[in-house]
Amino acid sequence: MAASFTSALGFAAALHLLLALAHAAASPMNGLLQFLLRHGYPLLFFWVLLEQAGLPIPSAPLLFVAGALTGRGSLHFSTTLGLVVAAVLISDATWFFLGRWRGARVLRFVCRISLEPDNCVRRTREAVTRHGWMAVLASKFVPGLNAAMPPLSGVSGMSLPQFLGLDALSAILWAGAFTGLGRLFSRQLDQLAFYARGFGGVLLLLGFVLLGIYIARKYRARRRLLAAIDTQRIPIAELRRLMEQGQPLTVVDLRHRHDFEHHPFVIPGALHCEPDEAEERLEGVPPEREIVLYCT
Amino acid sequence: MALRLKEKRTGRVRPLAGGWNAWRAEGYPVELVPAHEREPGALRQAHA
Repeated sequence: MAASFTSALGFAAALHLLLALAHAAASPMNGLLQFLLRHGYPLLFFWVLLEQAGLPIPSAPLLFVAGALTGRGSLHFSTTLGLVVAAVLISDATWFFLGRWRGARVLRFVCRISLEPDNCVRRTREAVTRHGWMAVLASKFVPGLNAAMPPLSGVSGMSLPQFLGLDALSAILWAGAFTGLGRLFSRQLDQLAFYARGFGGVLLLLGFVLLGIYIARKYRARRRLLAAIDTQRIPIAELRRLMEQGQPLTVVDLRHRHDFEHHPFVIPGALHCEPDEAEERLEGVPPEREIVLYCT
Repeated sequence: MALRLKEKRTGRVRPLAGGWNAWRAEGYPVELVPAHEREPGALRQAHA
């Protein structure tokens, strides 16, 4: 919930900044405009750095506005792009080394501060297993994968030059797409500022309400799922007792391939398979037989 | 996964509380999977 709250704050802050920038850009005498135009580069740099560090604060609206300001000549396009790519590389290289140094624990930590900690680790690993280097290239555009990809690349043993090359290309595509879009719509910035001046408060409130509904629905769905699973869990002592008594049951090891290859042991008699193979592999097991699943 | 499997089976389908790490932390026995059974798709015998 703390992550959701941080995310809400980050989103609201980005929205507010967007409106403030748009508002400020339309009135040159405004002090905020002077501040943002004077400190636009460091603001952009540190915002992207923090987002890439794992904080759920969206950079896309800021990149969009920065792009619009480059279209008006207030910021330089190449400098903006260079700063964003530098921020991405600094943050991602740090996570890459942490992943290499501390292993899967770093990946789990990164996923814990995202909105979907339950499936983030597995989803990221599956993306790399299935799509290889393409996953690194596309990760900046996929929420959740973005923060988790650098430590996973470090864990999976990718070479640093390969990772930095792919990451830089991904950052250029990502930053270029949003700033390019902003640049394309720079003429509409005045119009946006006009609306922001008139309806800024209402838009901000609407943004808060929509985000609140989104987070509340997500949080409720997750609590329901966890509650449903919790009531059905089997304690390890009970499994041990059932096994000693020779009760008919099938134990299935669903750990990810990376974990299994690193430590190829299972609970005695367990069947190891990937989650997407489990249904097929269990077809031969009598339907009335109890099944116990475990992962890491 | 557990919920999806449960829909198709009449027997109980339960996740292990604490998973592999909890099992190992208790010092319960583990079994080495032979190399030829670690290949993707290799069939392991289910618990008898």
